Formats: sequence, structure tokens, C-alpha cells
Amino acid sequence: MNDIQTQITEQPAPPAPSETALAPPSAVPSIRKTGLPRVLSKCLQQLASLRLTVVLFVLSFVIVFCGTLAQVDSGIWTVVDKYFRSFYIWIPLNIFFPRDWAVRGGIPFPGGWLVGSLLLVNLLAAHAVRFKATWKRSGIILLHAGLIIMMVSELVTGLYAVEGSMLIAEGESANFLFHPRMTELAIMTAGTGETQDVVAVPMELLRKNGSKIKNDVLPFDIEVVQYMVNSQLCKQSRKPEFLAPFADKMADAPSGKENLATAGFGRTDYMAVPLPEVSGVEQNKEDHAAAYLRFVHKSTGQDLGTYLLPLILEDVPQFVNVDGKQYDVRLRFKRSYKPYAVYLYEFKHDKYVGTEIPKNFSSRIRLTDPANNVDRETLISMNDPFRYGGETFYQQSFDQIRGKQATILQVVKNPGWLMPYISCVMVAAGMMLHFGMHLQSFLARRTVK
Amino acid sequence: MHYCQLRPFSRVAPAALFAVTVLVFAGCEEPEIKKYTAAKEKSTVDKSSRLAGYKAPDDWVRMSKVMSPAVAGFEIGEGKKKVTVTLTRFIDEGGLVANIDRWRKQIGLPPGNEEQNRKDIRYLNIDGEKTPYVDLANPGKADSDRILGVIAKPGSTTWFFKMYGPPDQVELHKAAFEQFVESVRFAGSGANQ
Repeated sequence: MNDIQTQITEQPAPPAPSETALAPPSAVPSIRKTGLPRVLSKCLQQLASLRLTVVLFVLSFVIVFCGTLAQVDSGIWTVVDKYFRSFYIWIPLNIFFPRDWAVRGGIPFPGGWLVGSLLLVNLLAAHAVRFKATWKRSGIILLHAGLIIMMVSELVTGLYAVEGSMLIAEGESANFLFHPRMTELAIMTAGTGETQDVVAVPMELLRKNGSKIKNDVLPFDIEVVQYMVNSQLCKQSRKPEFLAPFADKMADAPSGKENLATAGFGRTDYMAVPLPEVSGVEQNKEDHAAAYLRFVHKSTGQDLGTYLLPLILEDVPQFVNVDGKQYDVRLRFKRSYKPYAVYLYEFKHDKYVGTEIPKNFSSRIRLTDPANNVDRETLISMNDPFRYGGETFYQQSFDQIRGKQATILQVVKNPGWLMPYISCVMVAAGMMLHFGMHLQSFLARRTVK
Repeated sequence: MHYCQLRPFSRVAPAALFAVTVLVFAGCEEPEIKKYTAAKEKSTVDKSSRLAGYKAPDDWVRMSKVMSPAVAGFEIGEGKKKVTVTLTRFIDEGGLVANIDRWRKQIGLPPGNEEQNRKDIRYLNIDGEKTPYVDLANPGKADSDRILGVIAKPGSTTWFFKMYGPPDQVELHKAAFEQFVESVRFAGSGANQ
């Protein structure tokens, strides 16, 4: 059927701020012979519609508008995932009204990825059926190719980019990243050995209140009593000498609130109260996730206790005993272990002489990767990251652990990191080419006149 | 001025869409429970910063409020016979001799030299550790208190257990204080891990 050719006249395009509208009228030609089967060709003609382009742009504006309003209630990354990196959204109506009106209901809407994908399809279809590769339109084609790369780069970033942080004390090594936007339940074998077995349960499974988590690798079954994206840790009426020093600054647990914990420090010392997620408009605040989890013996169904696991106390172990074995359970930031280790020689926080104004932060590190025979020393400082194995190490922050100075390196892996640069160069070159040619022909016409 | 009449995207478009679809499906990752072996967790918590337990005599009355930096306190008796016990924790306590001097000053004694202060130190067994203990009085000043003080450093936090009050009353409760201090267990001790 490839020999069936079509000749369809393009409908007049409505005025719209689309990329294709950048082209002058002469560059919006009639639909050409595509050499494609008739059905596919007709589909492409529909998909190439400029009306569709306009509609998709309007939908994009609505998503951006709603996503911005939603940040009053939700964190920026929640909004990014929910509104922009999704195929479908449920937009709650209350985001358009004062929150104390408590407006209920919502409207279904296409998500950012769906609209982006359709724009990509629309653009590709337009090129398939409408545009022809001529020298005159090379600027437009280059510009559109740049836009396509830009759209694909966002997809690649959303799907494949990984960001984490590495916390290393001076004179110590680290071989894992922690991901501050994600939590996990870590169940570790307790003991005195150099290593320990770890079972990590991801946040996605913990966020479903009432769900039961069963798996062969788990030493016991887990029931999610309550997961809190953000919480306030309160002290119970326990005597302060039995609590950590920072408990002095904690609020008292609300009276009359049922304590869900039956074991661990949640039974006597602390209580977590749910708080709304830190919104995108709040500065210098972060979520403190916490969970009440009930552990159940796998074979007998015996209740092993309901534990309070707050992220803020991730360094305080709590133990669950099963069949004579002890397991250390903690809610912590999600970790990714690496085949390499990074050793920190020294962290430096330089200040301008005579002031407390920071001048530079830097970390002298040594990266060892035995599998690849790599042993490198380098200095990572502000605006001077270190790249290794497709990952980029940035100087992010610093801290104190175990009384030692520690550095925090941000480690980013994004297979599409070059794409926005390439895209911008192509778009700029395309525009220069396109407008340059028009300028040239305009000047030529003026000379003739 | 057409140099060519190709339609390069007519065949590339479906292939590009297919590639994007593959990209999306390849990038979608289902959350799963993972098991692995890792180096043993190093705790960043100072486990000595809190107590795991102690046994206070029944006639000691817990104070509803204590003056910072004390975290807890007890009173024994009333009026002029009142004896007070306080529990205080510090991260950076300044050293043993300096603290003995601080207590000497509180009861009107001049600072002792290091040799003198060290001579005054006895030891109690607290949570398996030999712990410095002093008994300070100022007989030259009639209304001054007597202080029984214990400075325990089970980790990076230092705990001060102090009994003070009229010298004769402190003498009456000295044995109970020593028993109380020896009953203290810290959260980071082996038995309380």
C-alpha cells in the first residue's frame, strides 16, 4: 500500500502562538505526498492539525497554572510528579478557592507527560505530512528538531535521572547515596559482625495505610497502621532524663490522642502527630516522615508489636525479636549502594578574612573503585564538580557527625544531561538561520526596488 | 529554490514515536523489596545522652520543675531539713577538677589545687564503670550546704548527680544517694542496647 499517494489541502490554520506559526504563510504548505498507507496518512493528517497544537498549548498552560496553585498545599516534588510527570491528573477544585471554603470534588485532566507526548506526536506528524525538507525551511526544521530533543530530554530526566546525597565524615568512607525525597523501612540483622543483612521496603509500599506487606525476604509480615508524609514528633509524659536531650524542645503529646505504638520508644517516650506536607511556598522547611508499623510473625500470626518509626530518629535503633533473632528496624532516607567508595580527607569552609561570609566550600576526596581499578584523588568545590562513571559530584553542604566535620556531596546521574544544551543550540541556530534567510531576501527585495 | 523534496520525517516519525514509547516503558520501575548485605550501621547517636533506668527511694519526692540545665530532681524532707538531688547532663562539661572547684565555690570553699581535688575523689560503680564521687563540706561556714557529687561520663555526654542540703541531713541520706546513683543505667550501656 505504500504506493498510494494522497494530496490533501491543508485547512487554514487558526492564529496561534505555536512553533509552526513561527513560519511565514509560505512555509505552511499543502499536505504533500507522504508515501504512507492511506489510513496512516489520514491519521497523521489529523494528528498534524494546528488546531490540535493550539488545544495542547492551552492544556499545557492550564496544567502549569493548576500545578502552581497546587503548591500552596503540596510540596514542589509532589506537584512535579502529580501534575507534570504523569499521564492523568485529578485536579481538586479546592485549589481554585480559599481553603477554608472546603470545596469538594475535582476534575480529571491530562497530565504533563500526556500533553507533552501529544505535542511531540503533533510536531512529528506535522513534519511527516506537511513540511518538506528544503533549504528554505531548514531553519524551521532545525528549530523543531531542537524542540523535540527538549521534550525528550524532560522525559529522559523524569524517567532516568537519579539524584542523591553522600554524607562523609573526615577520615571516613561512604559507599551509598541517600535520597532525601524518598524513605524506606530498613530491617537489619542485629549483631556484632562487620556486615549485616538488610531488607529495604520502599516508601511506595509504606504509604498505603492499612496495607499488609508480605514477602519471602522479610523476616516478619508488616501492616501499615499509619504512614505520615510529614509529622510532628511529640514527647510523651515520660521523664526527661529518659529522653534524648533534644526532647526538651519538643511539644507534649496531645492529650486524649490514642497512642498507636505498643512497643519500642513509641510506647513510652514519643508520639507522632500527622502534619500536612510542606508546601512549595514554604521556605526552609522539610517533611519529617513517620510511620506506625505493626509487625506480625509470619507463621503464627503473633503480634510482635506496633512501632513508631520517625525519620527524625533514624539513628536510634529499635529491636524486634523473632524466633530468637533480633532485627534492628528504622525508617530512613532511601539508600542506593555504589560499587565505589569515597573517602574524605578534609572538608574546608573558607571565609573572607575578618568576616563570617563564606568564600568557598571544598572537599578533598579519594574515590576507589576496585572493580575498575580506579583510585583517584580530587578536590570538589563550589562550581567545580567531579564527574565519574556518568555521575556528577557537587559540593552541596556540610554537617557534623560523631563530633567530626562531614561533607555532603550531591550526586546526580542524568543520561539526558547534554540534551537541553544540544536543544538550545539547535533552536538558536534554527532561529538564526530562519530569520537570517528572511532578512537576506528582504534586503535583496529592497535592493531590487 | 528547492534543493530537494524529501520528506524525512514521514518515515522517521513512527520510528521516533516507537522509540519514545520504549523509553517510557523501560523507565517505569515497579517499587520492590530488596535484600542485600552492607557494612554494619554506624550510629551517629550519643546513646549516653539518656538514662535507661534507676531506682529512687520511695520517700524522695520528684520535683515538678527543675532549674535548667538540670533535667530532673528530687526533694527529701521539708523546710530547713530539705535535701535536694538533681540530675544534669552536659555535652561539654569542662573537666573533672573544674567541676569539683565549681561545687567548692557553691559552698564557700576556695578553689582547691588539682592535687587536693583529686585526693577528695572516691569512686562508685555505676553501670559497670568506676565513677568519680566527691563529698564536699565547709565546716568553717555554719549555714553552708554539704554536697555529694558524682560525675559520670558514659559516652560523649556527662551526667552530674548531686545531693545538697544541710550537712547533718545529707549525712542521713548519704547511703540512699549512693544506692540511687549505683542503680543508674545508661541507654548506651551493653545491657541496655
